[in-house]
Amino acid sequence: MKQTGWKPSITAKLVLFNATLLLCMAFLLFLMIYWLQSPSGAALACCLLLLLGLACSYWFGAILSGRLRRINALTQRIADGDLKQEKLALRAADEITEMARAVEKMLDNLRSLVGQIVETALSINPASSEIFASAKRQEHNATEQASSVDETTRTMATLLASSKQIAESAQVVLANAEKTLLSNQLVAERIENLNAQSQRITEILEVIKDIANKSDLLALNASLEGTKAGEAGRGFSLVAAEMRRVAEDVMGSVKDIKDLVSVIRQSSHAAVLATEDGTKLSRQTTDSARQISLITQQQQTGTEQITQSMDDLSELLAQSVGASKEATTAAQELMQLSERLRFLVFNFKLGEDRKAEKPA
Amino acid sequence: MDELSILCFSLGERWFGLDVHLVEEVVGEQTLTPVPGTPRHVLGLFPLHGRAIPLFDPACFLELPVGDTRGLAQAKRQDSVRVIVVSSGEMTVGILVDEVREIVEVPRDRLGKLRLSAEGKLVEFALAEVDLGQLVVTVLDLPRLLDAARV
Repeated sequence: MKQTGWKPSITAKLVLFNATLLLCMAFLLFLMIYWLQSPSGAALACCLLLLLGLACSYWFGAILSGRLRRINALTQRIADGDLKQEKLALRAADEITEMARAVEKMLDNLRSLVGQIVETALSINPASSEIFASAKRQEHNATEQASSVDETTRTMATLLASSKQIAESAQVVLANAEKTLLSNQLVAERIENLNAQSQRITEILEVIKDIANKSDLLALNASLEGTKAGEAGRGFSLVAAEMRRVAEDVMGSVKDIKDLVSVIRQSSHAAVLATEDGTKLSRQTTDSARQISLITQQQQTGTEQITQSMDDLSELLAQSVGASKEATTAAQELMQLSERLRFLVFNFKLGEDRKAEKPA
Repeated sequence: MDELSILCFSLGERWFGLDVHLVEEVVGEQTLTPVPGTPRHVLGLFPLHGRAIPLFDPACFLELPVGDTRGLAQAKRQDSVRVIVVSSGEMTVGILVDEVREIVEVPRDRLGKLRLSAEGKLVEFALAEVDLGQLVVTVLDLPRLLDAARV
């Protein structure tokens, strides 16, 4: 505290007071001695004056300690946490008043400080609750995401397994289709052979037919001559008639054979068509099987890529989950701290309009 | 003679007969050379035993309604063309027919009048009609027919 100019201090007051008292005592003593000229009176006056002096000292001291006590009471209240505003009405301009002012100022500062702390605590608490809730949600989300990724990975593994199976089956189908193609070729060759043979048969039949035709004519003419010869030619006519019948039988057989050959040809034609269909089908099957193989290969590659991505994602999510857990823990700590803070500031009383809420 | 030997042949659906003694022989497919300027019933000439024989189409001459049926019959038996070589007087002619059956001995008392419908010129040249059970044969008067058809 600066001490510019003359400041009334307690020491000065005390000295002044004592001096005045002593002077008064001296004066009175002098007066007693000279006016009354009685030493016992003077001794009595001395005693009276002494008592007066003691009483005055006591009264001075009381005033002093009274003022100090009031200051003490205020500081006690402050120590207990009651920061209600109070102005000590101390008028005397001395160190004690200075102390009182200082205490008052301290009180004001404290109150404003604590008030700000309380406000902050009030606003921290809901905010930290929200942060905690949000961190918890994020943790939950991250955990859910991680489990989704797991499921996806498992599905991918199943998909991979089934596409491997499909590829194997497609291979089998391909092998079978190629075998079928080969056997179809063999069948086609056999049928070609058959056709060639039936062609030969037809050629031979033509020859036979020609022969039968000629025989028929021959027999007819023989019969004619036999008839023209009359009785002599009767036997001859009979023989000729027999020959005609033979020729007719041959013609009949030739016709039957021709029909059979025709049926065989039709059957083999149908067989050729069937094998052609079969070959076409086999080719289509082969193409399809090849396509399936290709697609499953692509599927495999795609699935492997997805699995890889899922693994990477899994790692990221694990990190995210870890971070979320840390955030949650931190938020929880924050919440606890803000609760403690509220609890602490609850004990401070700031006046009617600025009460700290009772912590839950 | 109390019996007539007739050679049975068909033109379309109808069966005819010829006296055997007029028939020289029966032949099959021949190399035919068409002769321009001849009537429609003369189909051309073919060689036989060193001679050139004219081929006569009786179905055309007698205006028989064979038409489509003939075509079908011919198609059925395209492998067996039959030409009956006949001689009448100093004429030798080949008659184109569809099918030649057998030679039948017919007693003269079985020859009857024509009962089946005879369209066109047939009635002029038909001698008689014989019922052979399976077939009804119209016996033709060959010399008269050839005379009428000669060019």
